[in-house]
Amino acid sequence: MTRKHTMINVTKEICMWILSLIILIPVAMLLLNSVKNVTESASMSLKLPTSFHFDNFVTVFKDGNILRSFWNSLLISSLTSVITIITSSMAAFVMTRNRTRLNRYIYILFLIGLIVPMNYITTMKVLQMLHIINTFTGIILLYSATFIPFTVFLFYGFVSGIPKELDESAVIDGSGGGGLFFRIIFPLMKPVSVTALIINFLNCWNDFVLPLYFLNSSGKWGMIMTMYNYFSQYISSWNLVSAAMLINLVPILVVYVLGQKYIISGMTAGAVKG
Amino acid sequence: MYTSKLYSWKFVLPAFLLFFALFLVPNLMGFYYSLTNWNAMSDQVKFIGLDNFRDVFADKSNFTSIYNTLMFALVTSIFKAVIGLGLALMLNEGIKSKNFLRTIFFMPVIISNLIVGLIFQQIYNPDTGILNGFLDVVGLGAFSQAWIADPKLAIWSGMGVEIWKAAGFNMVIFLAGLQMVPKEMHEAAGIDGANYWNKLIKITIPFLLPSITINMLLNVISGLKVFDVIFALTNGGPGRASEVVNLTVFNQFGLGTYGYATALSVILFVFLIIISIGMVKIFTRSEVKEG
Repeated sequence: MTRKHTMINVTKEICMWILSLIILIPVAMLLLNSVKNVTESASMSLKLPTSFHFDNFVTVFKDGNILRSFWNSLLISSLTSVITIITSSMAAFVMTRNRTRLNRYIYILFLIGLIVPMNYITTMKVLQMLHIINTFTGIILLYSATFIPFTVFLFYGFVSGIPKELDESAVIDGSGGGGLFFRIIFPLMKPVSVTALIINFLNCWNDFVLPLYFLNSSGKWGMIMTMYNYFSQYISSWNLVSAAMLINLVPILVVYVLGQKYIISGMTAGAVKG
Repeated sequence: MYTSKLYSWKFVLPAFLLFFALFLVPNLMGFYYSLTNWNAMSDQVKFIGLDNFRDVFADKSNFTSIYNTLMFALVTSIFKAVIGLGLALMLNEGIKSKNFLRTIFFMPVIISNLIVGLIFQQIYNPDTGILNGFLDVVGLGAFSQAWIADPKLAIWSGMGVEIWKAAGFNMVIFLAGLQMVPKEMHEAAGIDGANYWNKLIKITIPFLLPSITINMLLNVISGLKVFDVIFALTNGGPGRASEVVNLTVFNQFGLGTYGYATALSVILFVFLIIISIGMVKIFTRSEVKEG
């Protein structure tokens, strides 16, 4: 019985490893081609390079504006995440604790925001009217606005689990609403805040649709847009393009491997509670 | 008594204002601007009634775009869920390296759509791509295709990329759902002589209904909103054969026909609302029945 079980499990394991090649081969293809020369990389094959050209990465770093765009990405993604987390956690806290009819309606509006698409064209109009089109402020506020529904949803489920007695004891100790939230509640929400931070940061880092519509000046582009620009410029040098893509992927993969637990718990949190 | 003071509406305000001004207002404005001749060429915005919608439906290639979007949402949703369920069942327990394998299968979810699309452009290349290369090696060379150069096939190849990318997401939702299936029930059924398939259909699947609901809902929503994968893979080509609604909107935006593009966005908005509400209705009903 047990031997049969181990046999089944070993077979399962081997099958899954073979299946995982579907995911791993495209990544391997990228790795291999990033160290080939131009002619070898032209076909994007899985052949081993005849000689290793690590200088491809040096070339990309030299003329790809990669460093500046790295800082841009970092600036946009971190500010967006911070704004989104603070505003969403505050809103979710009050909406769960004080269930007035108005708060219910507002929560439903946030949920609708999870479903409906963004209207890019009229968003451009609004950004123009507010004079924040083509600025860091505009893009950061816009990202925050699009991430708030999901983040509110994430915090909403979590705050419901924090006992209300805590609030009462804080009030007896003389805390007002602000003190209660920032000194007692917010620190308790650390796990969900880390989750929200990682997910929003990654979404922001990976997105290229909003810059495509709303950021025309290349000086403000993040890594993804710069990589795309690089791709259109060096369309025939796939070795350089592969290197640029890898430079883009490495920070994401590092965050993923380190924060995997948080990412998955966040993405499934909403799902399990429905 | 203290409630309204302690939990002040001022706390909701920043999040709501941002969301209201930069998400809800543009969406509401869309309904008005879709009825105007707003464009990049002139400063005057004139009310023209339903003309934009008439123009949208008068152009046959918009049907391709709407049809592609609906097919994309339908096909990718089903395949993502089925493959995700298969992966979750395989990686739920028993296998030693299951955590490592889960990490690998989930990885595409966090990779940028743009990079994924561009890489698959190379994989799908009819002459040098590794997909046709692989088919040749295993003796299925007859099935080689011009994956993204063939107008009939291009959108399907796009669906393939999306499934590759997001099946892992469905997998983690199902894995979370599988933890809710009581082990005792499986054991009891085993003693009663139920085989693997009986247990799967009679016990596991009913317990997974909430996960199926949420997966299908999220899959359909993201499927209808598809933009980046197609933009990067085919840019709607060849011709407009693999265009999807959000790509048409983007192209019209580039042409400066803002009113027309807004009308398309409004159509997508309506589709999303109707289909999501419909799905929630259908799924909640079936859950109640099972429960």
